[in-house]
Amino acid sequence: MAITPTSPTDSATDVPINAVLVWTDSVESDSYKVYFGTNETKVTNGDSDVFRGEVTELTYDPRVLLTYSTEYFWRIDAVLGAAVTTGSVYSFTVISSTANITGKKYKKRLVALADDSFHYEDIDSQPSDMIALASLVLDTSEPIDMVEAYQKIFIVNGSDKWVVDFSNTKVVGTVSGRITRGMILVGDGAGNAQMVVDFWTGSATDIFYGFNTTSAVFTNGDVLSGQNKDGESVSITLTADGVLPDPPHYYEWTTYGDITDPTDPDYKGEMPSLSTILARFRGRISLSGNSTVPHSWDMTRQDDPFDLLFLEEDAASAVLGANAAIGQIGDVVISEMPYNDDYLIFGCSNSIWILAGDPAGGGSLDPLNETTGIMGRDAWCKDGDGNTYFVGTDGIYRIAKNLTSFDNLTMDKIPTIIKDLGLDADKQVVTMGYDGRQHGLVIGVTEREDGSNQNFWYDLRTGGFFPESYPNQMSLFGQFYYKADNAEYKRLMIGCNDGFIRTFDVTYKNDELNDTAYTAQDIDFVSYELLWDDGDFDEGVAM
Amino acid sequence: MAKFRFPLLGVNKNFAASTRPDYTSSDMNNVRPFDVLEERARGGQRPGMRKVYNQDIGSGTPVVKIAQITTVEL
Repeated sequence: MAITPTSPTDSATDVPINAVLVWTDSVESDSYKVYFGTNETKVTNGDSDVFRGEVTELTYDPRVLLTYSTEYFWRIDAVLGAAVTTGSVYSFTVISSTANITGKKYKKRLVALADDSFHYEDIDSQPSDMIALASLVLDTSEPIDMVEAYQKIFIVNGSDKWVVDFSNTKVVGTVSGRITRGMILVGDGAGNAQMVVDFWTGSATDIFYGFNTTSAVFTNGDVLSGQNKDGESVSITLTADGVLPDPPHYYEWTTYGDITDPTDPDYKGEMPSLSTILARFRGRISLSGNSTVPHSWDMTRQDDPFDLLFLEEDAASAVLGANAAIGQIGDVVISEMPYNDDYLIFGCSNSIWILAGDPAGGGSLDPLNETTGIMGRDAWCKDGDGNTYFVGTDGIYRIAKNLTSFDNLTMDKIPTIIKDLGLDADKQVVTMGYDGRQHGLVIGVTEREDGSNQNFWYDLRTGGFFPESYPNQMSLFGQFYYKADNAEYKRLMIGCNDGFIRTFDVTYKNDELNDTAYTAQDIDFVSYELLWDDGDFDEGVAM
Repeated sequence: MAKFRFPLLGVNKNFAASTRPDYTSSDMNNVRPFDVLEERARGGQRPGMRKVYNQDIGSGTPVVKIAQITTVEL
């Protein structure tokens, strides 16, 4: 036999996800035909679907990350002159995701909003499943946004605001004294469970949420006691067992205790009546998009998403601001685009503003461009290098990391792109997403009414724009680059028109529709116009 | 014999055909500059879209927002 597998060895297990095929050849053939895939029959039969090309080296790099816990089959046919010697079929199995990450002390989950519900990834038992959070009723036909902060998801949905809490334990009981945020309560039950108080729903219900810093649990009848921020001794006598965070809790997002009396020592201000835009910046949550004051934005206190009390001479205080010169009414805020904790870009209807530094502690708010606006709340993304891109009112822009440049990328390529697309925020959803695997950006423009779409791929390597179209049921309503622990899920996730979350996958030649069984849809109109060296045009079809 | 030049630099509608920059095209659809499997700059179709999760979480209505959350464990 000419070909012998060196790596992975035949029937090997726990193979890394970035495995490269290596073999030896006792005959020194001219070249090798590589067949590789998860379908043993296709590899055995030399099906064109699993033919990966002909190489001259004794190695083949699949160039894509393999899938955890999946068995792969491969076959090398040796080519010597006109003779082709069919090789044997070998197999290996990729390591499981849980075996790959040991000692992990944190979890990442994908979350999504659809069908009036909040959904989260079932990473503990079945990562390929999404679970709906029972009882939390949203209205996804209304403006809705969410942001991650402090191990929670904060949601604004019309006049409603919610918190989905993935970390805190919920306790309820009879309260004695003022339980203040941040204090430690110690239980008198087995193991003396402790919690750091995070949120209180108010005196009407006296439900508290806090992070349990021990492995012990709270049980009905336990007395939790401690000292509040003013040194007063306080306690709660539980009337029910503490509820662990799995499944996550949800509760209305109010200020701590939902206290409305400004003279109350624990008064924490008031939440804005309406918000449609959220962002996290410097330990604060910024809320904007209130149609009655569309130019203004509120930011919660640093490290406290339940405090909106504006205080003087307090650098951590909540902030109310607007993007305008003194005496002016500001421009309407359409989108908020933070870059870590360094700066926050406000995309407005006719201008772009930059908040650099903290709004209550020496930061500055300045216009970056006073003629260009942004075409939608989600019409932006960041690439892997920290550059920000957005669909502006007159082109597609790049704001370089650290604000070193501000460029219209389409001005010299498609100068009328916005006009050509007929962009209208009321009729279309404009989204952008960064695909770290393919090194480019997806710009999606979807008609709300029927899902028809016009899209572009912006290739970060060539700087070119490439029009794309998708079947209407797969048109883009949301995009997110998921930095998952599991490398197979570390992808650009697409929220599709038909209710599925999809991703671009280089191993798929066709689009996968929403049937229960896999159904392929040919990618339509794979075409381009060629200009040959002789100056004539011709139609090309990519293979 | 005319040379084939794949439009690696994408669509360009800013110039007349006779002066359009090399490696651009006035019209195209569903092509990308890099062969997605081999990562070679020779042109190819866009990758297909596949389902990541089993559920139709929108029950036929759009998935309007996606995010991620990180939590710590003791």
